[in-house]
Amino acid sequence: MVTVKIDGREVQVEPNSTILQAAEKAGVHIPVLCHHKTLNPFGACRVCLVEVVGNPKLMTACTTPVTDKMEIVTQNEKLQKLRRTVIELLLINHPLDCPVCDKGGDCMLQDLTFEVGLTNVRFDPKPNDTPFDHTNPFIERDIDRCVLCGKCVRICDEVVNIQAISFINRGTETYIGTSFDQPWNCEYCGQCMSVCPVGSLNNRVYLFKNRPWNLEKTESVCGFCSCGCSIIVEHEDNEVYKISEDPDLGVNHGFLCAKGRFGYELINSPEREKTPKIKKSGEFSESSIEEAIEYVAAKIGEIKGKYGADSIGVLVSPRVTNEEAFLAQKFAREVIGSNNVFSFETVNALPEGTYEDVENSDNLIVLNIDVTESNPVLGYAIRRMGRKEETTLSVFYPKVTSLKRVATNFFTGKPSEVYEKIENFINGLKGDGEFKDLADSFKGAKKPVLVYNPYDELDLYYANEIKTLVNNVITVPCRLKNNSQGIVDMGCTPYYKPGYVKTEAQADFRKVLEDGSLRALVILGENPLLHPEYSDLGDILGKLDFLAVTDPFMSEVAELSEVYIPVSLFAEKDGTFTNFEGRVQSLNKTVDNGVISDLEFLALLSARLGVNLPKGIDEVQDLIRKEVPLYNDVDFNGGTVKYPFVLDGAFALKKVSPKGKGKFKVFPGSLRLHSGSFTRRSQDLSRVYAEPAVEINPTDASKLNVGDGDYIILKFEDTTRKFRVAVVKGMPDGVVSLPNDFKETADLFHKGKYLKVDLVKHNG
Amino acid sequence: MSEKAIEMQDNQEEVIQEIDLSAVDEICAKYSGKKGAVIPVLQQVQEHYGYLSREMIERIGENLNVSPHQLYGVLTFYAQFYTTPRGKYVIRVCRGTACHVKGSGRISEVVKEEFGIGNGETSSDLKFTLEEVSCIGACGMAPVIMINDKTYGNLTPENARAIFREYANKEE
Amino acid sequence: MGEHIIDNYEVHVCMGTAGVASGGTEVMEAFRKAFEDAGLPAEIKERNCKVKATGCRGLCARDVLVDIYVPGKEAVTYEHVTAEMVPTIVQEHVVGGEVVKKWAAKDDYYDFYKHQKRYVLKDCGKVDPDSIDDYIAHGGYEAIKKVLKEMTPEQVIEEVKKSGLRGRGGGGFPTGLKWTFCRNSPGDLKYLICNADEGDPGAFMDRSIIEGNPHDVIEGMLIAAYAIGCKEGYIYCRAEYPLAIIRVKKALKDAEERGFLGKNILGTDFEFHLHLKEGAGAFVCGEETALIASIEGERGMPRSRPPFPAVKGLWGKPSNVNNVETFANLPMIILNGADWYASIGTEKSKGTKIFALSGKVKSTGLIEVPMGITVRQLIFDVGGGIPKKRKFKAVQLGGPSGGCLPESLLDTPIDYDSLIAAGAMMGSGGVVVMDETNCMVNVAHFFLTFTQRESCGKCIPCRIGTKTMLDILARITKGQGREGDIELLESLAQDIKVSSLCGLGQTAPNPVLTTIRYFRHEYEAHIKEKRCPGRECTELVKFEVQEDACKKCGICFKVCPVNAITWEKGKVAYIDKSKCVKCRECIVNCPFNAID
Repeated sequence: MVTVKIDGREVQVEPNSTILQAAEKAGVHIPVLCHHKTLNPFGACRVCLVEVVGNPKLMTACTTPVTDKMEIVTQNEKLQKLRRTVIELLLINHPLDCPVCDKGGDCMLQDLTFEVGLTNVRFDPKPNDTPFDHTNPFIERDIDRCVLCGKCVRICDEVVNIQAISFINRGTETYIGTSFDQPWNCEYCGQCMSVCPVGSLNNRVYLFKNRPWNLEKTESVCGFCSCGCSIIVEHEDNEVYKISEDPDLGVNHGFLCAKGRFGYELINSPEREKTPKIKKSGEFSESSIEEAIEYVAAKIGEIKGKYGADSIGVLVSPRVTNEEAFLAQKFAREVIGSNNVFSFETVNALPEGTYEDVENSDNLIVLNIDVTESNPVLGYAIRRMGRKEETTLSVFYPKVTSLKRVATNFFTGKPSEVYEKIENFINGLKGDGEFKDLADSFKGAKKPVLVYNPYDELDLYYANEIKTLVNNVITVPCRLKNNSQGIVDMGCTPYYKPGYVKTEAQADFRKVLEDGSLRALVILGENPLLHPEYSDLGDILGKLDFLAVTDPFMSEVAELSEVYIPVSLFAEKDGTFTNFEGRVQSLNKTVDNGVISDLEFLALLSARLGVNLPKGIDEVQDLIRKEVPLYNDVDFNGGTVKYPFVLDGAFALKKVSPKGKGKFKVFPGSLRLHSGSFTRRSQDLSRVYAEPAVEINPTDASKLNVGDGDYIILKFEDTTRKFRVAVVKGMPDGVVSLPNDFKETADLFHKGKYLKVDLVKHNG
Repeated sequence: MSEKAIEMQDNQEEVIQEIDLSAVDEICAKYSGKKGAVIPVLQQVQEHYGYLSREMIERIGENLNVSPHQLYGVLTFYAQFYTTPRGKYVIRVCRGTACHVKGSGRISEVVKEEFGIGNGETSSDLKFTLEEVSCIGACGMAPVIMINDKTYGNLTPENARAIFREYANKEE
Repeated sequence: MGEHIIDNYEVHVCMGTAGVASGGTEVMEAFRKAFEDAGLPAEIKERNCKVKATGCRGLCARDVLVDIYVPGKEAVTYEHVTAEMVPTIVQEHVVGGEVVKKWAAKDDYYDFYKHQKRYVLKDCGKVDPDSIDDYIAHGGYEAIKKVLKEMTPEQVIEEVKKSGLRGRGGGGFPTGLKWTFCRNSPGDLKYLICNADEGDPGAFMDRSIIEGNPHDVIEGMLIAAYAIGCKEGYIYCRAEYPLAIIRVKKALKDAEERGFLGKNILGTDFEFHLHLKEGAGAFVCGEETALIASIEGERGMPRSRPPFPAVKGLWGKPSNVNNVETFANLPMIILNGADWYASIGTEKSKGTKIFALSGKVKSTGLIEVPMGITVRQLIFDVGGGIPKKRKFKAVQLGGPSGGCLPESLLDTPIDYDSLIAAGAMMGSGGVVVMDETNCMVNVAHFFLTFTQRESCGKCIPCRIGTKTMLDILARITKGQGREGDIELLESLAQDIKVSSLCGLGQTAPNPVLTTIRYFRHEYEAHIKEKRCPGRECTELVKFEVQEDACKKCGICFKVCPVNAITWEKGKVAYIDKSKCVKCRECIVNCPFNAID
């Protein structure tokens, strides 16, 4: 520790602290503009200039490290004049259109102008006048208001590692832009916008909807993927207006992805259902909650009485909270008395590695998953890792992904070729073959990390092989949804009771449906019709004696139900999610859309069936701590669960054999903007990715005479379907991808993970 | 930018489509795995094609694993790089101290009068490009211009005009 | 000149940038033909004329310069040679034995050298820059041999410290001390960088050294690399210097082949790999952190210091950047000793400094003088004073970032500290002399235009501040200056100086501040009287002949390019304003300042 004196206040700080950090610790405010704590020091704006006693030159507080006994003056008339001049210079070209600027009230330039006491500009104003740029679907860009602090460019470079924007030109001609002023296409994560100090980059989803000072900010956890990002929900009068970030909060350091940042309008979607519905003679009619619960209870009681407890099942979606999942299995196991609690989550792989492990790894393998699409914020961590000097990042995946720029090795090809390469790599670990060098470096690494897809049997097999061959490897199974991990932890599987206690009777969801032993099903938020594995079960589900579905939206499976109960979304309830790391985090109810939560639904239904389950969130959590040993001493605000195993199961080597006969190989692609189900209810996300598209490389596209955005006919076995074309570089010849969890695609992939199809141009 | 120059830019769009980019790959291959390759690669690609197009930049980016936007940021920072084809004869008018004092501004005006191009512009027949440069280190004979690699000193508007016309009349 | 007497006829034609531009190729061809016609065996050599101890080389204004060597006689130098003059020279001088006096160099040519002290430039022009053997024959690579054989790295640093050598790139930081910082930084991999990104208009000493004696720079770098502990090095050369780049490439290759670069240099375990990086045209890359960014392949935007390059430089490794001229000083310091070197110059500024003299001075060119000579000596003794009998008005010292000094400060000694005290600086070594036909507001505007255009745009004071100053200067030169503009300029300039990120912004206001300091009355004349005393701001000049001042000589009539002036012998000239294009030819040529 070193001691420094700032404006007379002595403070002890770490030796490498900057003056700014020391000042913060001392409680001294130094104004900044281009500085951002998560970015490398830049020192461009000069607003934070301070005097260091004994040094004739003024120093920027944000870049200058302290030295022992350093004495710093941050406030005097000279410094105030300099700061005033800097702000004054900015105001020459900055359009003073604050009343019509969405940033008004939340603008660093406004605040600094006030802070430095600038009341009059001595120079002739020359406001810039360039049209707004709306080429980015989520971000409005006004380069006139830009102060060239470079935070957007730097965060896109240092944090996101996409480098979608850059400083262009030099001197007074400088602006922030793209190569040859192309439309601004990127991953739409909005990190740039989140650090823009002025109204140059604005949130188009939020634009002109409210004023910053009206909004209440509530910390919560994102409800989309399993990254478990902390978010700030900005809301007023039961309406969510904006999702923002806090760099000091959670595992994501304030970084979000397009879904998390811009997908929130689904909360306010007009498609949201508010009233329960009961289907009578094929037609839904509205009912009250009480009536609906009563109806469900009666039906369940009746069927249980007739066919026994095991004729009833519960299917749980990974969207629900731990508390809801816990009650769901309790409902099945204790209220109904059956082990029939299902989910589509894997039970073979449990979390091991954390974000920190990923970022600090010296050798990381991404095994057959497009992680920057499926788990974007984990993807940022991998990209930052790959960017570091002297790290090795190797990716096995059919097409080139956005990890390419930072990857040391990138192995692409037809899915079967990718598996061959993985196989060769494993042979390398065993001591021979073409991948021996890489295998040796992975084995010899200080912190080898394996990132993989835990939903694929073959991938699990390879992950298990690697785990066996490299004893210090840390595995990171990339679960998909916000609580994919939590619902398994809570025992929403016939195989385990909460906390991985093996069960005896182990029913299989498909089997019990197909053999007719299951007569009634309560689905909490899940939609089997969009799941490639179960998308064929629509007929059976429709013919069940009883089907009840809870969902924020009237989903495809909800349409088949006898009772549909609309429930709340993540911003509308309390509880916890467990992310892919096994980290438990609390969300906070911010708005009330007048619908009940799954938790309330389960409590009401159980009560009606004669068992009183707790319905207060605290009571449920107390019960979890008591009944789930895994969770009993975990901090529900960020604690990590210690798991009993990493990989467990009878993993078998099953060679890939694509189904079908066509010329093109299809593999399932991942999408950053969608997971097929409820993100499609976000009109903003859907505007960018409205329907599933066939990704194809430019050579194949030109052979088929199709271009980006054209339609193409895909022929697979007896099915002929029309899809939009997305031309992408880095897709191997003869290979295309298609997302598999859309209603237009799930049934195709039901036949197999990999398909062979024919493609022809769609005319007309 | 003069109308001629804008018109010429439009035409370039079509020309660019047909350029064979294999030389980009060859140049990048020489720098594979080497640090600090960006500027030498940009220089050599420009030397080969005469300028840097959007397609070339994208190809360089793919080869070097650098974002095309970053590359564009780099190339627009340095005066040496061009994103449009250049004239057969590049007229560099020195605007250094000595030349300025001795009236190099007038020489630029003569270029404008003769070929209708201002600083940084190329004539529509792709014959001349005007470039005002800072000192080319021949102050003793100010004002000075260079046409490609040939230097002309002690210019007056009159003898400069004669030189320009001589180039204009040169056979292709 | 009589440096050496030879057996064969030899003609040395200056073929540097200026030599070629002045018709050197044609002159060479003419000599070849003339000798052939005369049936004489002769060697016609093309020499890069930039700098040579015994030739012009530095005096490019007089190109094409030709040295004629006749067996048994002293060499003779001819100035301003054209192809037309060649047959006469060959006939009268070579064949007839009579020097063509009217074309041969006169006293002023030799005066140009008399007041100089050429150490750094000593071998430039003497050695063949493309021949490592020639360099070795002139004592080259002896210094590095001595260093490797007799000295520890610490001793080398000590010697350089003792010599008092300060960075020639402009800042004047003590070289030995700078090396110590980098040497003491932890790390195995350290970089040594030679800054050859000479961008100041009018300054070309670094180019001359590199083009004239590239091995000298390489040897200097070897000495530094050994002293600091660098294994890798770069020469960052301005791309606008194609000849320099060719020469460096050849020199690097030769030095490597001879074992002066690479592993096990001269049989020791000293290892140094040197690479050439071509700049891409950005003045700001002369700033060392911007230069580093540029080598890394990024936009050449300066970075905040600390961390200094000595701690965290190229690719995050400790790095040391020195300028060409600094490196070129090193071999002689090692060979002649620190004491010898420290005996040249002043107490705090040792050795010599190369200047590029230009503007309104009789002998423009490259000169090397000992530190401490006065500005007056530089302009009047070396440069021969102001041409056309005009009055000296000001001198801009240190390139566009330097300052403009008036006549009252002509006795300022040229050393780092005195120049700073006067508001100027050593800078690049550019010296631009101005006479009474120059307007100081316009001069300030001109220099600021340059620095403003070269601003990288990163920091606000430099990006917007210099532009704002320029706008104010522009309105003053157009006669639209306002009451308070001078104070506004001063205030803004002061703020920019102390708040800019790098040296470019910190010095850009210097020409404005010094012209206001020493020529405030000219600013006031523009603002209050809408008058330009230097008659350069054409919007404020009437272009009228002052009858009482006109001596009816008719020069203006002769120089007017558009025939706007009527004159008859014995009569006052008259300017027809409808024809006048305000080119100022009449003003700068009128010997009597009679046009206003």
